[in-house]
Amino acid sequence: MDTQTLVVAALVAGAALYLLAKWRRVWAASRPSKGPGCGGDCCGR
Amino acid sequence: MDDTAALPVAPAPPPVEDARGGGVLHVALIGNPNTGKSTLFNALTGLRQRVGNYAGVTVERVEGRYRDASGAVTVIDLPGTYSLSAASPDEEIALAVLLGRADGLPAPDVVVVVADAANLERNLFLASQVLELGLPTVVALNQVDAAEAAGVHADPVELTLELGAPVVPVVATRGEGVEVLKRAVRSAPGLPRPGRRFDLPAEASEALRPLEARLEAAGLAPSAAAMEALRLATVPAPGRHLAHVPGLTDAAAEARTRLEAAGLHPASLEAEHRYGWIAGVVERAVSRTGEGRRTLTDRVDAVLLHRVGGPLVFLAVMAIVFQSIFAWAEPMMGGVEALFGALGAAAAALIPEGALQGLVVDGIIAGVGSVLVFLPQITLLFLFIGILEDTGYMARAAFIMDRFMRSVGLHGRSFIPLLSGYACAVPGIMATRTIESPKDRLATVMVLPLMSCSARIPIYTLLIGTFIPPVVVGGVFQLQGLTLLAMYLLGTLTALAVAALFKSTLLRGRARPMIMELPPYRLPRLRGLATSVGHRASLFLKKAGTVILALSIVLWALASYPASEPPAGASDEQAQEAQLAGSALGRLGAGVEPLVEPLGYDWKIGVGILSSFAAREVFVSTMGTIYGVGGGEDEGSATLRERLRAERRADGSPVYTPLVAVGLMVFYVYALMCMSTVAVVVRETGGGWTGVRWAAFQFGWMLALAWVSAFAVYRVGLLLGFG
Repeated sequence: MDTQTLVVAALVAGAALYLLAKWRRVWAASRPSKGPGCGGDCCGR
Repeated sequence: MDDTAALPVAPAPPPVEDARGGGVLHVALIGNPNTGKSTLFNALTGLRQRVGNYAGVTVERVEGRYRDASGAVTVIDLPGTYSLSAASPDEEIALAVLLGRADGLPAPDVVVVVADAANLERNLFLASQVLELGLPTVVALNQVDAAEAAGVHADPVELTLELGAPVVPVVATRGEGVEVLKRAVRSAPGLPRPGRRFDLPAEASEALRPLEARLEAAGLAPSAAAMEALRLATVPAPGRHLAHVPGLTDAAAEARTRLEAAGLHPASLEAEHRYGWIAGVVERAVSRTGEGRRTLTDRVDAVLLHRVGGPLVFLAVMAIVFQSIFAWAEPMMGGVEALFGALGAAAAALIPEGALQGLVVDGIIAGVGSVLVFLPQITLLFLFIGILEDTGYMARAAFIMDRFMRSVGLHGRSFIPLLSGYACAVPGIMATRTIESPKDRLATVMVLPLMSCSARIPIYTLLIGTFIPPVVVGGVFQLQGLTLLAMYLLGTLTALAVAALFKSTLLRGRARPMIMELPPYRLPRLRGLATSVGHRASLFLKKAGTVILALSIVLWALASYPASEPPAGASDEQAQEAQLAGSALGRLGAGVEPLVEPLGYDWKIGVGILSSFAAREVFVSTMGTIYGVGGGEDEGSATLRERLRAERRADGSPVYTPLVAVGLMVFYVYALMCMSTVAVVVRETGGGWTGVRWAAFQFGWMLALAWVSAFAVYRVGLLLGFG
């Protein structure tokens, strides 16, 4: 494997990992928040 | 204004040693919406926060800090609220914070009530409730300059005597009185505690006494217990902050029965006595001159709020805004396109031919660059929105829209979240917390993503700029601007129609009126405008530099691998097309194509739609990457717009026609292509499986509406000969 291909593989892997982490964060945000006085249960339930 | 004249402020005491340690003073800022509370928060803490002209802008918890001569002070900016009735989630949060019942937040050491000097009658309702909580309280009498200009003079000394708490006149927009306010805040814990300033009839006091005793037994201070008991006589549910008090609902019901037996009306008891007291205070502390004078604002409002003229002016204003976006952004857009073209050429010259060159030129520069060229449009749109907000026109637009919203059964308070949805659905959905009725709130959340957010601008402007001719219509308007306006109107009108459907079926309930203040017209503040436009532009750049960049890299890899051998004798362009069709992305596209083919789309558009679930702008970057990889060497310097125009099917017919472009825009008006919005809908509709079900329902009906509408546009268009 030449240097260019190695760099490309690293960049693609890095980008994919970043997107996975980002989607995990977005999904974590779908849990009810603990805002002031909210306690996770005043937001629409 | 003289900051120091006639202010009942004692010299600053030595630092208050906080029970939690560290000598930090905890201050809570509370006030009616549109009293300049957020502006005062900024003036106190120096934090940047969005300052709008319409009510209800503060929904999230916002905290800041400042230091005075005695030490550090933290300030929490509570949601704007008209009372502490705890009828909406926002009011409940405000009350819970003040009572020290909010998760992770200490009870405040000092409360600052921000009151609009020109509207004291209404503002003092909340102030009187806060005073009764018995916490050290300071009243910031804001916008005294505007009040004076309107002939309203509120006497801070007289008010101090009436309220039993220091009253400090301020002009938050200019920072006047803020230093005095800081000193008053520092002194407040050393002053006698405020309390109720009026007496209830003996029968009412008698009826409420058992309720007060129960609340006191649960740990509430006597004054707070009295305030809560009076509140509980008027509201059906105690609120979650009192969930720890046993038997409260029954005790409140018993108190109501006793009040009724005494010939009193529980529902109006609190309002009757508070407003009675307020009327006396205002009579003694406020003087008015030149009443009944017709101000410039009144004269302008006579036109802008006219039943027929108002909506017409609103439409004309929006048409001019959208037209300007095209007319003014075009030269800048050309500049950014040229910049990325040069960047691509430079990268191609610098990096030796190979996979890395392909990734940088066709993946990163073509993908991210194709989205970044829309920065001028985004900046211009938010500049216009900022100007309309700052001048006070946006509040008038809310007033005009309120009539339409009530006609479909939506709460007037739904307008502000819906308006936020034009920028981004995520904060818009969070802003629905100001809506008291859960059904109204859910109906608003369900239709909010139909408001065209800024992420759709790159798609709309790419397709309109490329396929809609810039012809003049009616001698004044341009077809491009009108098409953009039509997309915004389509989303808005559909949102209202679907809300009406929900409100008459799944989420039945009556429409509630909204009290709304209309601020006086004023010139936009350049600094505030620059901050808000800069903030929006930086959000867009951040997204381009993170999610869109990462997706461009991944999509480039999917479009480039597995590598395939070009057919013998194929031209450069044919070889690139064969590579693209044989790639992982091409195979995925072949799977998606049957679903989008009836809409007139090819597999590349199908893949663009699929990838744009991450964020709508990704449709444009995906197109940039696909055409970057698929473009022959002779097309290397062509812009995405030129490539889309040149794209042909196997039979030589163009892939993109104005009809396909309009159908695609209609698809994006309706489809919920935004992962972050789906996540926030899950959370705001209850989280867990309840939230997932609502979000899935919303995603499903919006996708179905998008597909059917795009199909109808394309097929009817073909029948009418627009193909």
